[in-house]
Parts: sequence; C-alpha cells; structure tokens
Amino acid sequence: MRPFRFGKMKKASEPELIQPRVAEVETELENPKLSSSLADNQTTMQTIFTNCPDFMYRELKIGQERVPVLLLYMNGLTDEQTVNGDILKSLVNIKSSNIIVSGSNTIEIIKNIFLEIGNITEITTIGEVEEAVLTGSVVLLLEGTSKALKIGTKGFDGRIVSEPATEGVVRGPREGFTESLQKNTAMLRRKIKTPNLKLEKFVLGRVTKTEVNIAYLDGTVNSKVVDEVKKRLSLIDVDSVLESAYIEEMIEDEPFSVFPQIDHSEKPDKIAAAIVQGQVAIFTDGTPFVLIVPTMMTQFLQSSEDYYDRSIYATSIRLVRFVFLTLALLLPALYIAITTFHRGLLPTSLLISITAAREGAPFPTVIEVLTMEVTFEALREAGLRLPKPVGQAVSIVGGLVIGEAAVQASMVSPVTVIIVALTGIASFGIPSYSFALAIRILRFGMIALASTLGLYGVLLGVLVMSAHLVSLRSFGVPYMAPFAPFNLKDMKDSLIRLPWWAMGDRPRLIAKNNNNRQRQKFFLKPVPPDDNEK
Amino acid sequence: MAGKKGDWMPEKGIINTKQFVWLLFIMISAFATMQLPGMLIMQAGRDAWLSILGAWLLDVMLALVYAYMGIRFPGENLVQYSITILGKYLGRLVGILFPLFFLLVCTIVLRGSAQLVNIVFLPRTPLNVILVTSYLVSALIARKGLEAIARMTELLGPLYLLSIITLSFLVLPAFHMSRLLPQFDNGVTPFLTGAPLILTNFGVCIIMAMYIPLCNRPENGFLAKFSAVSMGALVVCLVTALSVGIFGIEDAQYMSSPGIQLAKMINFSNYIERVEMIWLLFLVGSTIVASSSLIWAFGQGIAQITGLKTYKPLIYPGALISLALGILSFPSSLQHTNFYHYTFPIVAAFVEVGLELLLFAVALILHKRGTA
Amino acid sequence: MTVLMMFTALAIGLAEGLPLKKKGQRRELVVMTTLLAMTILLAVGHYLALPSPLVLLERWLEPVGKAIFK
Repeated sequence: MRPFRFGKMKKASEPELIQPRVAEVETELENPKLSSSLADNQTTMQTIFTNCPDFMYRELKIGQERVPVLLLYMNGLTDEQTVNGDILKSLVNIKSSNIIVSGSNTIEIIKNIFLEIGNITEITTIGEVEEAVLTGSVVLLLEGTSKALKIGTKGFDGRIVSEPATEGVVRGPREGFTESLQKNTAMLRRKIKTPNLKLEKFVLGRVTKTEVNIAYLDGTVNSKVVDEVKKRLSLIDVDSVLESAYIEEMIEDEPFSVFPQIDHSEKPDKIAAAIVQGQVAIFTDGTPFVLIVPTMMTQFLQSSEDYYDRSIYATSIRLVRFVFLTLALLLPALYIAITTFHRGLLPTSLLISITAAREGAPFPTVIEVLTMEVTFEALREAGLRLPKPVGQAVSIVGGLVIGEAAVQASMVSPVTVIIVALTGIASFGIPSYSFALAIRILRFGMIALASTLGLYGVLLGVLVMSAHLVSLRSFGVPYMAPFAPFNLKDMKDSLIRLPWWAMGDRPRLIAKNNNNRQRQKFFLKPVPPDDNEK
Repeated sequence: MAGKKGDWMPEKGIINTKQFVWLLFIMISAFATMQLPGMLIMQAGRDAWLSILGAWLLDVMLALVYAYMGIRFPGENLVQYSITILGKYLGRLVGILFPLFFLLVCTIVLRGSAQLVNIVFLPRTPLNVILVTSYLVSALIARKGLEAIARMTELLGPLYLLSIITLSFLVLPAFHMSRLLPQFDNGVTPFLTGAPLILTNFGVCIIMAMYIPLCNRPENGFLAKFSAVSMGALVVCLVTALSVGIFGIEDAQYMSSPGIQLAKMINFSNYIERVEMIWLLFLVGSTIVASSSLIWAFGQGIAQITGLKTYKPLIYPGALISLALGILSFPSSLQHTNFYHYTFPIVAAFVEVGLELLLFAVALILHKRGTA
Repeated sequence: MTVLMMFTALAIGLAEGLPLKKKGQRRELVVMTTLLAMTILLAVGHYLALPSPLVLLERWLEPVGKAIFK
C-alpha cells in the first residue's frame, strides 16, 4: 500500500557511491597539468573564461631579472585591498631585495619569503586554478614553472552580522548567522572553544560548488549519526545547492511526510547548544539557515529563549505551546464536529448563543469555516510576500473589512470568525515556522474528517497522524522521543524545562555513547547561606 | 527443527518492557471495558467484581505458563514454538489457530466499538461505514509494525487509564455500598461461572506470546503481563463495581455498556453534559489500536506458518477478512452480543487455555526446548 | 456488498501484489492471494445465503455456552 517507495530504494541500492566525491573522479580525467610556459597557461585560462568580464589577469615582471608573473582573480570575489596592498606590493618589492628569483625554486622563494599572506597553497592543475579563481582566491602563475600559488584572499562584502528576522528573542544573544560560511563557522567557534569541535568540508552541486560543512563535537556526538550524515551528504549529486533546504530534502528519512524532520536555525546560540548536546549541524554556504540533525518533534516546540528564561516560566510557556498546537490542529474540526453532529456536548446556554449567532447564515458550518480558513491563509500569504507598507494594508483589509463585513452581511456567523481567528493565533504560537506549516495542512484534513464523521472522524485523523509520527525517525532517533518511546530522564527538557542545575545528563537518545553522558557537575543547585552558620 | 529458531522474524522492531505493559494493558482494557461489564453483571450479579479478582488470579497463573514458554523457547513466538513442539504438519495445524483466533477477537472488538460509535456519535451514519473506517485505520497502524503500535499504546495507555480513574472519581459520590451487598447471595455459582467468562476476555493477552520474542528483555514477560493484567483488572473492576453500586443490580445487568452509562452520569454542575462522548473517544481509540495489534499478530502468525519473509502484505487482506466476517456474520448487534456472550468464551477458553496447556504438556513430556 | 468486497479485495491485491511481483516474492504473493480469495469466498457465500464460518461456529458452540452462562 505504499506506492512511493523509490526514494528509499534508490538510497539503498547504491551503496558503492559512498566514496567522498564524484566530482573528484571527473576532474582527474579531464584535468590537465599546468604548462611551464606562462603564455600557454594564459591562453588556456583565457579560453576557459571567455565572456567573463569579471575575470581579471594582471601581468607584471618581478625582480631584477624581470621574470613575468601573472595574477588571476575574479573581480569582486577577492579582497581588493589585499590584492593591491599586499600581493602586488610584495611582488614589486622583490626588485629591491637582492635575492635571485629565477631558477627552479622561484615559486618557493616567493611563497616563503615575499608574500605577506597566511593562506597560501601550491597547486598544479588547470582545474585547481579554475576552482581557486572561482572561489575567490588569487592565483599566481610564474614563467618557467608548472606550479601555481593559490593565495587565499577570499573577501567580498557580505551582510554584516545582524539580528535574525525569524527567531526573535527578548533575552538572549541577538546575533544571527549570515550568508557567508566562514563567518558562520567562526561565530560557532567563538562559542565553542575546543579543538573537539570538528568541521568537515563537503562541496555539493555540480554548478554551484557550494561549500557545506558539518559541525559536531567529537566525543559527545554519536559517531554513527556523523557517519550517516556523511554518507547521505556524499550521495547528493545535483546541479545546484542554493539553500540548506535543498540538502534537507535530500537527506531526510521519510520524503513524503508533511512533518519537517530536520530542524534549522539562524541563531548561533541555538546551533551551539545543539552541538554541545550531541547533535550535528550542517552549514551551507550562502544561507544563514543551519540544519540540525537528528531532530525530534519537541525541538519544534522549543525556542532558544526557553533556556534563558526562568525554568518555571519556560515550562509553562511550553505547556501553552502544546495547547496551541492542539488548537491550531483541531479547533475548527472540533467546532464543526460538535455543532453539526454532537450538539449535546455543548452546554445549553452556549448552544443557544451559537445557534442564535448562526441565525440567517446561508451556508453550512463546514463551508463557512473552510472559506474563512482559506481567506485567512490567503491573507497570511499576501502579507508575507508583499512589500511591507502594502502588507499592512492587506491585513487591514482582511481583518477589518472582510471579517467585519462578512459578519454584518450575515454571510458567516461571528462564531466562525472567532474560531478561525483563534486558530490563526494559536498557529502563530508554534515557534517553528516549518512545523506550523505541517499543522496548517493537516488542519484541512481534520476539517474534512470532522465534517463527514464528526468527533469519530477527528479521532481517526489523530490516530493516523500519531501512528505516522511515532513511526518517523530522524537519523535513527525516534521523532516522538522522549514521549514514545518514553524516557523519563529525557523528559527534563521536553514538555518541561528543568533548571540548568538539574540537567546533569545529556539527552540519551541523541548522544548514545555511554562514557560521556554527564555534562556538568551534579549538585549545582544553589544553596543560600545558612544564617546559623556564622 | 533446531535451526528454526528466529530463522525468519518478519518483524524487526524491538519493544521495551514498559511498552510491553502498555500494549497488554490497552489490549485487555479496550476489550474488557466495552461490553464485558454488562455481560458479567448479568452473569455474576453482585459478585461480578469478585469474579474479576478470581479471573485475575487465574490469568496470572496462565501468564506464568506463557512467560515460561517464552523463556523455554527463546526467540520464538506462539506460532513458532507450536511448530517446534508438534512438528511440521501438526504444529502448523495447531499454530494457525492462534492467528485465526486473533482475527476473531479483532472482529468482535471492532464490531463492538463500531456499534457504540454508531449509537453514541453517529446515529444516522450506516454501521458499515464506521466499521470500514475503523478497519482502515487499524490496518494502517498495523502495517507500520509492532514498534509503532507499541509507541501508540505508550501515548494512549496512560491517557486511557487516567480517563477511567478520573471517571471513577467523578461518579464516586453516587456510589452506594449497600447496593453491592449481600455478596454470595445466590451461592458461589455466579462467581464460579463469572470468573471463566472474564478470564476468556483477559486471556486475549496470550498475544503476549507474540510480543515476547520481540521484547528487549524477554525474561520480563511475566512481570509485564502481571502489571498489565493488574491494571486491566483494576479498570474493569472499577467499572463493574461502580455500575452495580450506582445503578443497582436490576438496572445494571441490562446495560449493554455500563461504562458509557457511568460516564453519562457525569455532569459538571449541569453545565457540560454527555461527557461519555469524550470518554468513548479514548475507548474507541484504544480499541482501534488494540485491534491493529491483533491484525499485526494475525499477519505475523500467518507469515511464520507459511514461511514468508515479510508479514506486511498480509495486513490489508487480513483486515478485509475480519471486516467481511464482522459485516456478514452479525445481522444486528443482538447476534453480536449473543456470539460474544455464549460462543466466544468457549472458543477463547479452548485456544487460550486448552491449546497452550497442551503445548506446554507436550513440551514437558517430549523434553522439547528452544535453542538459544 | 458482495461486489464492493470483491472490488476492495481486487484493489488490495493490486496495490500489494504488484510490488511483490516486482520483487519476485512468489510465496508472499500466493499467501496474500489466498487470503483475498477467502474474503471473496465469504462474500460470495453470503450472496448465496450460505452461513458464515462464525455462524457455523455459533450453531455448534452456543448450546455449550448457554449451558454454562446465563
């Protein structure tokens, strides 16, 4: 009964592909070495980069011997100041020194003595030169040698670190990731200062050559998860990776689930917390959103601020979120089920006022709720995409004019408007946008069930949904943990959030290795000074 | 047959002891709180709650046998060890009775719950629609494997237990001890016949023998069964004793589902009424999950008898057979109740007690033992 | 009812059987088809007014049950 199997089968049937990169094999085949003639190299590079006006090459002659040298770089990808100020200057300065720069080891001399730049590597093939230029390095070619120098001068103006737009907090760090991978990993390093924080580099995308880093804490992370992540990442062979969502969809466990199985965040503190408790983060160049695996459902109902507020407040807000979740999913369905099938469940006075409010409404409740829900979704979408000033106008038109006017014209009953509005607010109460999307979709399914089979239909829907949820796994970790399978110790950070001094163990299911379970000293509970003890 | 042990275990999921308890609890309580208290009160009158205690004792003893067999034949379930004990042909013949029995139980349970839903929730919807949807959802859950079912029960079980305990507290003010007295009014016959009646229902948890090989600690089988049947007995006992104590024996014995009637009693200061619907939601949810594990056991059993690699393709056909039986065998709810009251206990006693004790005896006599 | 059931059996047979056939699991296919055939038999039997197995069981065992239970 599952026609859509091919996604998994494909993964299973190609285990030979686990070798690191397919691209490497290709480059070896069609990757000629550099020639020792500078002119040859120059023509090759010029053919490769025809019609690329941003490709720059600067010829100069260095030293007293006037050895021709060629600098290749992409305009805008490199840091102009480094190129002009450091590289060019040092090359020109060779003239005034008395070291002879011709001969077999010229390139070593330049590298070791003259260039005042840290990140320099020797490269030998055309492909490497090409890649170096495209990723923002400067390549130095020298007459008479088939080696080249790749000078890391990557530096282009990215967005500065700013407060993330999606995960606002009242208390807590305000910095958010940027589009630059280097900056992002640096922000992570600034938080986790141990060599155990490992970053492993992958290059994904045949055309985009996007750099992807996985980050984990060695010794804490479950090494099986890391291996699995690496395996799944190495299987990706696509044209482009422009956002972490590309990766997310290609490495998740159940491709046809409505629920997101991989959490993401653009807050360094959240990522650092996840890594410290044993999860793996996947950084993608070009996007501030970093993926976290493995993911459990509770993560979508937690915000990073839960850990910065007092634990009692955090616990109660989490409970409220579960209520929100239920309301966002079931409220319209319950309303339909109760008002059309089981009026007996309502208290008489409430029933009377609902019936009175529905007086003269021409449509059945289902149609009413459905139209209002669809309108609401349309408004939400419109408000999201339009320019900000117009977006506000949309919400005014939507909220005031449509809601108010529809009720005034007795097209819909006011109760329906209340229900839809409550549902909308409740769905905003779910911290994760991607999880709220799943709930939004399922809500319509529940409405359909409720309008055909009443409360019984809702029950069936909930059963099917929970059966799906409990059978989901994210990188070997049950999605519904720690509720099912139940784990009392991991409950400390799920529905409730215990104070920091009480969270002695790392979550069991995430970091499975036993030897490094304890993450802090026990008995850290603050004890006020005893008065009698003077 | 030495190499037979765990040769093919179509299901690969592993459950832990806690999940084992909840699986059995849902199985017992969903089956036994629906119509059973009414039948039992009819049978045993005021001694009904005592019969439950008697049945509990008997069932615990029975559980000892099942748990022992589970340890004697490690890694083998009911069906597999009947083949090990009785040989290829006779063993298969006996072994197939267990899956068929599970399917029969599933038929009865889901038909019962569909009737309740029809009466309480959807009086104008045809019964068959409700039956079909129940079976569909059950089969859907069953196909996800025992691991998923176990996790479902882990979510649902505590809720269900809590709902019954809450219910009991809420109706407690109306309870009159005097209506439960005198005990043993009509001699011990009602007690003695009531106990087997309920034992056959508790006995559905012979399905534990299907779970034990998939449990991460098979030696805890008895413990799990003991806790589950104790909780189950407590629940049924509460419902029965409260129904008699509240409605009196004269009314209670003609109720088709006293639990629902109890829930109907509840109203919060005349404001919210018909709370039984909410309780029934838990009950029906539990029944559907319970029957999904019955269908799973059917599929698993048949797959092992015929030597298949996977049981999954058998789930939907199994559910369909059960559905056909449920629709075609009982023209009305009366026939269903009659079958449940008079025929089912005999069948159940034969399979749960007779067959298993036979296997047990043969295993002891022939010194058959599983290979660990 | 009979037609509906046969139709459902057919649908299940297709949905479950085709993947099995593709994987070459003949044994599974045979067992599954047998189960579905049983359903169809039940349905046809009902159409021909034959008693269902449960009814047979009831005819046989009900007297015993009635003797023991009230």
